[in-house]
Amino acid sequence: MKKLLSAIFMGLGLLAFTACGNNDPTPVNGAQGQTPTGDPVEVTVVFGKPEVMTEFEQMLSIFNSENTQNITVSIIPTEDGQGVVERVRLQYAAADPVTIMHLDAGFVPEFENYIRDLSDQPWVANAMTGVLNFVTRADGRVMGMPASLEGFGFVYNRAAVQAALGNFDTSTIRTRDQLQAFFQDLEAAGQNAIITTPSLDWSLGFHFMNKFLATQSQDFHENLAFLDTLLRGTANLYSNARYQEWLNMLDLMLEYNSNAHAPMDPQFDDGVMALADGDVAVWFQGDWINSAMQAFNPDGDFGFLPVPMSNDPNDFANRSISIDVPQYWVVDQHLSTPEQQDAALYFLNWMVSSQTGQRFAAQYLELVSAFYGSEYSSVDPLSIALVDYMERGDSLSWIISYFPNGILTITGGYVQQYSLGLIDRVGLTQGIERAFYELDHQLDL
Amino acid sequence: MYNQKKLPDKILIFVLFAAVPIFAFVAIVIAPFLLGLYMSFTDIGTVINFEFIGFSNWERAFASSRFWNSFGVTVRFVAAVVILGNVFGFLLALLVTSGIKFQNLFRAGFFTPNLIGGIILGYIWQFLFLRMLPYFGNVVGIPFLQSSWLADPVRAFWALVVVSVWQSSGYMMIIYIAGLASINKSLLEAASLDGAGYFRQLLSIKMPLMIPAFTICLFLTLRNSFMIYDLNLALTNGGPFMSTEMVTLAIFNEAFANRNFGVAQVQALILFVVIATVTLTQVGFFKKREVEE
Repeated sequence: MKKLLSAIFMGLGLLAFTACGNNDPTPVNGAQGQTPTGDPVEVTVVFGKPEVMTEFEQMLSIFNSENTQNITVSIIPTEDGQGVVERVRLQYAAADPVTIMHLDAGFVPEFENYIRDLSDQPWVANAMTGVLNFVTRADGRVMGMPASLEGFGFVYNRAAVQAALGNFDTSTIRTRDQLQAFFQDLEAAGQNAIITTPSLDWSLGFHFMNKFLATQSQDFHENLAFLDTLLRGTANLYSNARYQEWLNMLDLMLEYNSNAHAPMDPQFDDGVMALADGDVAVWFQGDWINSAMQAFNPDGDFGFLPVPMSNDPNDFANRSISIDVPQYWVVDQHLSTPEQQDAALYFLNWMVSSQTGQRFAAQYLELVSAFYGSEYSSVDPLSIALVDYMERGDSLSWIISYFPNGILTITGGYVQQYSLGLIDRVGLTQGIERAFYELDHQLDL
Repeated sequence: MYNQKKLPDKILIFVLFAAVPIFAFVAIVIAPFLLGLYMSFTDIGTVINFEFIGFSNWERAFASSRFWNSFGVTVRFVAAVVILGNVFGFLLALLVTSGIKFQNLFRAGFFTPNLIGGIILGYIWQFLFLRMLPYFGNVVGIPFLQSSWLADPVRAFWALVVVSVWQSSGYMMIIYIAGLASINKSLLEAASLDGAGYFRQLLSIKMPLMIPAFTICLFLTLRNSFMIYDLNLALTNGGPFMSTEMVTLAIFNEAFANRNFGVAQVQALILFVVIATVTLTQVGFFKKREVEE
């Protein structure tokens, strides 16, 4: 372990050392600054979706040949999706930055001092409600451009629901009791209602927690303030109404779990297979499972069902699913020339405003547009549903983006113990409260 | 060629043979080690910038209950694997040197698990524990096989032990076979003429003469099971609820999930000191007991 860690840093050190030696791989002709647009500008980009890299390259070659600004965008290769942030750190250490970076939301703050404010960009006004929350600073700076949308809630198999209940309209489920009745009806019709997978700590110990944090109030900042009380150790979770509703929902999900005799057994693949085949009707997941499910059931039709919290049919929480931005585009200003930065901004704008950019993003790069009025929509039903929820305003921001690093293993662990009946509600609550407080204060658990 | 008289010749010979390995050793072991020691006094999070923060990483590392819990799991795991791995390895060695039919085939068979990397091994056994065993348990009706071993803290721990023993005992077997083969046959003949039975020969002649093999095997199992990472990651990933998180995995998570590189570095140094102390003590202890024929 020590060797591995050290080897990594040694490697970084060596690379920094050697890279400093021949530092200037991209000679920029426009770097003199006298000539405006027209002179060739070369900018580099890292992209974190290896599964669609070929399509991304195609889009770049179209951009490179079509743009009128003489801009050439070239990819800096990374080993895989995980490699992007490592690559970016390495390039900064070598004082040879990438100009356009496709970063996981959680890594944006790390490069805060090196990236450019994008609040003057034309797409800002066109961004969907809430998608800029995470990158907007108190002074109005906008540090990143949303690259796509992702959302999670209950995903249901339409064919399985229809086979059991006929032409049942899932949008009539507006309360917790209605959800329970829905589960009961499914079971009465011989259809397994739901598969609950506490073994996935990132799901029930992380994603699912967004529901009680993002519904404290309809005001994003009040939700953040509540999270802050949790981090400071002053929140009394157990007496919080939303938290109690959340616990009730967890109980409901465990009660109707198709694998209730061994709740910890099913893994991700089991969930995918069960839902794709219609073995169960519902699973708490997000739109990312779509491609995996298509592999099992190419004709499958899936939709979102909000996780209801209360028994008030008009409660906003009962009609909303958690949708936010998993990755942002950011632009380096630390070492990139002003011409390179301008070129980067031009490219980002082109991606969201031009027909080619919109078409590639939606149909080939599997990036659900976070901007209003995109002419092309994604092809898969879950992505389409996401945009519907966004446009109706029935979306919850991800408060989980503000969680301390590494918390999901711990909170996920408590949910696992709870699902096995090893701890009760009080134990679960104390565990969660302690995890937030101690990780935030870096008192290691 | 080792008889050079003049100093320049000696240096030339030394450089010719030792320079490259020494350079490699310094570059990939000594230098990272010193770099790591240096890092442990900084708040390094990225390579971009960091500051010296004195001993606070050290305080946090020693105060971390997650680290010490994982240490406890590791110590239990080491005890189980060292004992079971060597017992099975030794018994297998006796078996495949006893002259049974197809013994060379058995040797190859028992050794094979060692050729599979820990990650692959972990995933293969994960499949067995998650799917095959519960399926088998449900068909046959054995209660403790009916749910996945990996979902229960106690059984997940033993699952790790089982796989680790399964993997390491074949390797230990080879070393024990070498130990058994090195024993002078005339000693055994003399013993049997004196009326010593199989177990008397084993305890009083074979085992004392095989002490070097025990030294090596115990050292290898101790070190490997203290430093186990790949199997832990692939089979349980520390779960369920961190109950099987062993120390190297805990350090990795501290560094790359919690992003406390300095603290993780200190913990790695603690692990280094512990492993060095334990293995050096063990090797010293056994060296004293080696006997000549």
